[in-house]
Amino acid sequence: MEEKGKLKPEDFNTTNQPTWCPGCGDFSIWQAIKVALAELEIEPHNSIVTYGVGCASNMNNNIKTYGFHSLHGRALPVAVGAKLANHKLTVLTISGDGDTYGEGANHLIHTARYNSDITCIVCNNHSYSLTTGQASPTSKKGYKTKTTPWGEVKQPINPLSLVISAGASFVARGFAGDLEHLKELIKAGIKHKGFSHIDVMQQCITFNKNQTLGYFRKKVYKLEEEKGYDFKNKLLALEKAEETTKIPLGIFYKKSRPTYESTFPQLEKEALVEKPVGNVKFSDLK
Amino acid sequence: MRYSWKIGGPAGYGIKSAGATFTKAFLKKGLNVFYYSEYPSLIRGGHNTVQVDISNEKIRSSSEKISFLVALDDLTIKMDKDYLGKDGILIYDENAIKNTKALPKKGAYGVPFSDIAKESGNLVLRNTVALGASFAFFGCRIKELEHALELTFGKKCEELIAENIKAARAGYDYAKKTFELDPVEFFDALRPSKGKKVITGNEATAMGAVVGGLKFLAAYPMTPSTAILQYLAGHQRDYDLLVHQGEDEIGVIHEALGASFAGARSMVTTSGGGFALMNEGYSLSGMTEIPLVIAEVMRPAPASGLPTWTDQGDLSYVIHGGHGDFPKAVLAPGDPEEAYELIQEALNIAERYQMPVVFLSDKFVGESKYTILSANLREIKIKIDRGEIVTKTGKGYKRYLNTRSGISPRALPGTEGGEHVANSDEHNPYGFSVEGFDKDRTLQMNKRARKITALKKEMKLPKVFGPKDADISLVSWGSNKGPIIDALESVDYKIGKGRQPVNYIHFTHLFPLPAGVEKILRQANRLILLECNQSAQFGKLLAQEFGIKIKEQILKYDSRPFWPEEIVRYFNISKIDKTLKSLWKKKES
Repeated sequence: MEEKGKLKPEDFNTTNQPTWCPGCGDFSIWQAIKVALAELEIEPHNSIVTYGVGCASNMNNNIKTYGFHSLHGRALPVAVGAKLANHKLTVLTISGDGDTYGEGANHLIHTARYNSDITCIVCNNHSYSLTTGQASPTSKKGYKTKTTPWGEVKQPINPLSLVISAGASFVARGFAGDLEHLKELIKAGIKHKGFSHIDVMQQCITFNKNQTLGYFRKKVYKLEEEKGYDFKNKLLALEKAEETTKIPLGIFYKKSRPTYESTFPQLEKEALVEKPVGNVKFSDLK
Repeated sequence: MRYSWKIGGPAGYGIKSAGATFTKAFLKKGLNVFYYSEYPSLIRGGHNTVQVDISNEKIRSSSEKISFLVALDDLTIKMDKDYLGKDGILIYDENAIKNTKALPKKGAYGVPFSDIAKESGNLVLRNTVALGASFAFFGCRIKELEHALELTFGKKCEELIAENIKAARAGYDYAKKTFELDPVEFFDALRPSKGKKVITGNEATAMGAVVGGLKFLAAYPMTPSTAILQYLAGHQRDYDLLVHQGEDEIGVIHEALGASFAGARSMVTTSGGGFALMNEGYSLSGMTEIPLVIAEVMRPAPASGLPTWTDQGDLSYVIHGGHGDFPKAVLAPGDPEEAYELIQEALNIAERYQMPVVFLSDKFVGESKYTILSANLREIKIKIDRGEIVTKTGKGYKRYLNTRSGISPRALPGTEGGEHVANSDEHNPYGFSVEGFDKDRTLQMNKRARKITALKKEMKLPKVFGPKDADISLVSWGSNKGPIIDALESVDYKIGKGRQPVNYIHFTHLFPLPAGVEKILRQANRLILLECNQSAQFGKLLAQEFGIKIKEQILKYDSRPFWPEEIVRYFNISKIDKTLKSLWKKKES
């Protein structure tokens, strides 16, 4: 008999095979999530992963947990509600850049502000790849696609400075080309009490010919290897978030503050779903 | 016997507070009251009114005719004097009214509300002075008003009560001394009856939701639904539930779906515009089979419409809302008792059938205060039913198992072996996404549709008020119940010059309509449809479901509820002109 409590990444596999293009960054993100959950000993039935709609969100068929494949842009509000209902479970969201920074940007800002205890993983390939490669809110200026034939003219969103400003208490950037490092970031994000935002730089081998794996490899460096970097310093974090010549990876910002769920005294003793239903009679009403 | 008292003035003049005090005073006397308020969507100025109808019999509506009008400004005289009855009395602030030419020739009494208020300590007391003067005109004892003022300001401070009582007495004494008044004996002829209270439909909805086991409410404030959110937000710690005010309505419905997925009995509250934003989530609830109650308190639309007025124009929208074919239910309350009961039923249907249920209320029932007996609510007992939830699963749990009823037992997160995907994509029984032409598509569509077949069987038939066999049957739903029943009671269920027997067929369970409805409607001799919308939306639904077309229609969509008088008047106009303009303009002769 196997020793109980030793979860393996394979325990999070389903019977389905992923449908991503061979060489897609989603494969390593998928693996990093499974390894992180296994190493943290979070059992499949005690975790909820919510998904938006997009290439990355199609991961719903491939991770064995409680999953909620929601609508485009809505992974976060679903997660906020699920966490309020049962804060004892681990809640993750998986979505892409178009999903989280476009359709669902308002939810992102507010979830960061609420400081819901959720780990938000955004697979950022700077493209709408599932709809065959249109420009996304993080696409660089000049990016030529079928909807931007003369090149993107709009300024891209800077997701990290956005969520730092909005009040996220854990902000990190990972890279699909560095699975081990990404896994550690996801683990740190899950362990952090509060809203953990992890933006993951990812290649789209089919549609984004500019930001390739090689492109990222040349530009990335790790904040934790930089002498004197202090992720408690918000201004420094914002400065690093704005850096464009190189791409810093790691934890940009981390601060301890009360989670949204912890602000409800009703949830001190038990989770909302553990409470009796039908406990109030008409005569009890004030 | 029925009287109406209406007070009007700019926002900030304490119109609602005066109305509430007035309501309390007459409720305390054991009378039945009905409080109806009209106000614009602004914080200062405009034309704000409260009308309180008073009767020794049960009343459920606001009347067209005003017995006593209290005007704190010129605008009130301009807007409301035409509604004064033949013996109607206008009491106005002599200090504030500039256009004396607009005053009616008979029955207008000027009282210097503002001066008396200032003498009593503060100009803002003019509403209380007006209350005092009103009580003198009614021939009621000032003590009764003083007691009501104590109830209104009881929680604040004694100083406030003292100055209000002073102002009330000053207004009362002024009217007594200055005018020769015929007391309305009717008011003192009754003995108080106990256990009466006033309640709004919104309050009853919130209370029903609490008793019905609500655990999670997500909402974004929107008039006229906000009172439900506020009640539940204020009481969440008392009743051990959780209220989340979300970032927008799109967020709100998904937050509620997330909570429901995790196992909390969940609801959202909104009005038409918010429901519009929630539409994709409505469809998502249908597809993922996650229970959800949507309390939609209607106001006139399209777009921002008239935020603080009433309408029933969202019925077609909630029935047809959400992209794609998916099962849903729509229930509509006609009064606070029905609101209290139906919201509980909605929570049960949502969890038993794992589908979205719309609780369709409106501003009129939501914000008006109805007189009820507490016992009426206490006697409503709905057993909480959470539907099929599995606590243990074997290997290969299928969340979307193909069952005969269409309902597949739910596993809630945290249950070992129950892992699955609640999937917005079409899915197989495990919840995994499927692609393109696949047997799972038809199987799941049919499975979901079967829930409607089962639900139809327990949707309640309409209630019939009045004689069972009648020459004329009025057909309506929701908040029209009050004005219609009041109209028919006023003529003893015999209407028109021929005194023909008339009854009212009142619908609360609007969608899916149970099969028995057809028989009830086909048996009727002459059907007349009443709705507060332009396109006879419920009429269209009846035509669509049963091929029954009700040609005779009384439709009102000027943002006000029906008045009982105009329903009676419809039958008294010798040459029935069905164009609304002439109908509504024709005054009672």
